[in-house]
Amino acid sequence: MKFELWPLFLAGVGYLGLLFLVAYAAEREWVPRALTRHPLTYALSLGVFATSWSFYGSVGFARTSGYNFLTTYLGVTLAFVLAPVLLQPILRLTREYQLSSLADLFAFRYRSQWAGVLVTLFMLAGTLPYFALQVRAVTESLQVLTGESAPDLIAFGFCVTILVFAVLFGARHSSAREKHEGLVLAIAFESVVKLIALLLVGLFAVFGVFGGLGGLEAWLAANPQALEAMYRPVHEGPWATLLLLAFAASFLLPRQFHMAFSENLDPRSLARASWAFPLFLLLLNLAIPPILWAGAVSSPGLSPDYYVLGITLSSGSAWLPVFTFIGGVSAASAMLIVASLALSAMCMNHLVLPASFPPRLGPDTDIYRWLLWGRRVLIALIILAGYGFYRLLEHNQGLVQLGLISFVAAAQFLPGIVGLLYWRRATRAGFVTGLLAGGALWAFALLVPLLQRSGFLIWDVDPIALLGGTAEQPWEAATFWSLSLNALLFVGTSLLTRQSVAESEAAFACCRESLTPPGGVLVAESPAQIRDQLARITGREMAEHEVASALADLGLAVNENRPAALRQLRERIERNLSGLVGPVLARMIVDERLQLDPQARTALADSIRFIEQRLEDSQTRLQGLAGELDRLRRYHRQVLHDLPLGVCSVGPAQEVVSWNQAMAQLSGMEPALVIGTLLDDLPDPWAGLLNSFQHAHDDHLRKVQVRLGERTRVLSLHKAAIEAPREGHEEQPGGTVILVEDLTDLHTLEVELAHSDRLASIGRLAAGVAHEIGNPVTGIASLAQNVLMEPDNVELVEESLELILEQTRRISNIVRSLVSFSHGGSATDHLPAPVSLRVVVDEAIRLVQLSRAGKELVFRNQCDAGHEVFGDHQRLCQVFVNLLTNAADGSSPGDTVNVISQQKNDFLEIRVIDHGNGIDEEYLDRVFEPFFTTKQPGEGTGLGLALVYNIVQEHSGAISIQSAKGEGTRVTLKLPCTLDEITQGRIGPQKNLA
Amino acid sequence: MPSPNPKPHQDRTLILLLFAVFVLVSPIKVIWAGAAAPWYAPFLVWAGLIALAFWRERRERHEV
Repeated sequence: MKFELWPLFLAGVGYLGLLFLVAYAAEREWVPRALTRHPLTYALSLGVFATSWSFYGSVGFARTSGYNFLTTYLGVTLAFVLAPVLLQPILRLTREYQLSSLADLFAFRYRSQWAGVLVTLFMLAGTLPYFALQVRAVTESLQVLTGESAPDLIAFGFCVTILVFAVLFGARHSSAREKHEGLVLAIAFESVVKLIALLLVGLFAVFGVFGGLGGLEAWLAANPQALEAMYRPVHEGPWATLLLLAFAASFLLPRQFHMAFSENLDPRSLARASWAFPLFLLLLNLAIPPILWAGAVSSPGLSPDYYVLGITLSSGSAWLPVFTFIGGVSAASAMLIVASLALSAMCMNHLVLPASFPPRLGPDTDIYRWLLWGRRVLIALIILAGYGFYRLLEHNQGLVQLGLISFVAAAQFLPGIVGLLYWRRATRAGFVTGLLAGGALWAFALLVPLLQRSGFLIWDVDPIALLGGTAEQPWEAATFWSLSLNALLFVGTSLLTRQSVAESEAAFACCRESLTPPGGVLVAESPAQIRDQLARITGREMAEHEVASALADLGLAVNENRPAALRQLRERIERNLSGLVGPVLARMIVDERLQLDPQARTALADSIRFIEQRLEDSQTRLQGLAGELDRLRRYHRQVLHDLPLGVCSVGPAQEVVSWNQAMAQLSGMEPALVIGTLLDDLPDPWAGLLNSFQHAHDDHLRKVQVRLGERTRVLSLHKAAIEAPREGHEEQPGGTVILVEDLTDLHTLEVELAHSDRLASIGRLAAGVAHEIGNPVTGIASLAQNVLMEPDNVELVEESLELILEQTRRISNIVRSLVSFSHGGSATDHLPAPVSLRVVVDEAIRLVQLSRAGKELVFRNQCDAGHEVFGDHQRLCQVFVNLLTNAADGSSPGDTVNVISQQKNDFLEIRVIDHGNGIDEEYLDRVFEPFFTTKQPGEGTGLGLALVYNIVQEHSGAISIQSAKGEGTRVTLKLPCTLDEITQGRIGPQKNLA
Repeated sequence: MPSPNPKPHQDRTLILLLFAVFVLVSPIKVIWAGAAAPWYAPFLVWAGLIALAFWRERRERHEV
């Protein structure tokens, strides 16, 4: 059966059109995202590994090398078995640092533009033979089906169609950091087509050619040499070498790296792919041995490379050969598209951009557009270069021979990858030297013979013979010598050279072992300044976009000014730029424009954030003692976080280091927004409150009233210096921890209790009040009667009226004292002010004298008229009322109670001395306890002295009692004279009971 | 109280790798690639490796 050329070509183009549709549907989200992002879709997209080599060439490879052909896929299986320790770390690096290609990865780790350039050039050289292989497979498959040579126009048309697809669906964004869901789904679709096509051919081979499995077994039994030819090379051939080459190629070839890491939509998909992708490869290859044997039976004259197509021609069906041809087109096109995308990103970042970065373009250049079109042009150039290579090398070698040239090239990156992931000591010089030597030997051993055979190079030397290899299996000797030399130079040169600081940092980042935070503080003090600095090199539009994007990524505000947050912003901008222009240029831009002050001390908050992040993201979970310590650390951190007491610690650079949940509730500011902020930059009232308290002499500030939003809260603050522990000779940073206690509710209760106590006092004074008011009222009544009786006696009238007024004033004074003493008010009404001690004691005496006991005593107010204390008049009055009432209760009629004040430095000492019964020594320790009383039931509440103690403490004062039974009692108060004494609390509370 | 092994996933990977190397590279190849082996024997070995990788991934998924 023969086919016409152009219908087949159009079928191929039509298939590529279907691919357009699949990709477009995914991009427009016509296909459910659950399917596009499904782990199996990702695993199938990795099927780009199976190119024309796998689809057509595997049969030819099996013919010459038996089951050695499976090494190409068993090597891949080995690499994916190692996914958790080999592929996941690479994926983490590419995602974290926005590295879009292998060249980016090496340039990032070895901090070298040269490393990037070298990797790119080497990849280009190593992949072009593979491009040629794909184009050749498509044209030769056409030849098999049509029986005539395909014109050059067919190959060119195929390349142009691929080019258009790659540009439309692989380069939709200016940055390689963007994912292409459409491309991923289209490549997964291609894998399904390849698999179905090959399985169908396999089924035809078994059932169509051999008549079933029994027929196949019978044929094998009749032809034992066929099976023997498959197994013998496994023991004799370069099995291990091929395994190693496939192992390296499975993730180091540009197309594999691109699909596995750059287009990965979810890191968890890689874990699923560790078995799903090898399973896909197994199913794909299951058909190869039956096809080989069927081809030997039905198409003995055909090249085994095209048995896949050849045996379908004998099927008598028209659709099977065409569908198989489509499968071949699918295998070739997927490789060409993805490899050209991957190489274009590498060329852009490591060849084009370093040579023509936008500062050399016009100031109005739209860089994003420039990058997008740059990538598109590069894709076109790479595909056309592949076509050129195909023209140069056509019909020169077997499909697998060409593919293995690329595999050996990819294997040259193995030493570099091992160094990148596991050997921190590896240096840039080691990597470059090893790669140059290995690459040169690869070119000498494999590329030169290719060019010699094509007639492009005339050189009378047989490189493979020089290396001790054979023409049939040149890759074995080439792999051994190139990889050995590469690894030897890599290790040797690394041991002989030193890393730069930047390289060392990158090595730590790759190995995830660094616990040293990056040093220095950003010179720019705000995102706006960062944007202005960036704009000088990237242009304003790009700077604005990148800063806004980085701020959004980190969830930071545009007015962010915390040093730690700005440092984070710098890192994020560098990573985002890395996805756009590559890691080397990104580093260059931020180093040049976003400079760090190396002298500035890294904020403690920054260091802690860095270390905690490192511990959280630890590549290998901590174990043993380190794991236990980490659990202990988490426990302690959680204790601090959940403490029902505000905890704020301040680092030596005056930045907030910790801010727990209670502080967040009290202040309404989340820890993430506060940590790292300088204390001075906190919003009011926190900046003033915490700053002044931190610098205050005393470690405690009690019951300070703070306006927080709509409410006034009563807070007590306590602080302690964090001692700077010494480790060896290095002093560790200290700081201050501040505890903030919200006493608003307690304070409100206390105020209410005090008010109740005052009302109780007034109740006790009621009889006296009635008497005191009753007497003048009686006097006023008598005087008024006198006036009525003798209205014409002017002298008597005037005298009576004056007496009436005097009695009225007496009543008013009593009422005013009672009202003043008893009024309640809120907790915040009692603002401290200077209070004359003499006045307040007079008022207290007046009140106490209203009681019967008080009336019979002699009170002597010996306070100096100039002595003032700073406090609340009403509450101080309550102190003296309670003390004088106690004195009156314990004294006998006619006794004297003295109140004496004395200035002592910055405070006043006030003594209330009575000569009454005194207090039993056994009760002295308990008199300040609430509800403790020695009075008869109904005569006292037991709250008086407790309230006195509380009020004196609130005034930052102290109280002590000296008493002897039968000799009287002396209560001594110490109260501060000034506000300063109160805020600094120098006297401090005492319960000095002597 | 002794803590459970914190790195079971790495241990499983290592065991799986050693098993794969043992099966694919060691002289034990003569068993599955011997003259008496059926034509699909290499595929059975390969499928066994994939099954182990599948088991490991399932375990890790459930542990997360």
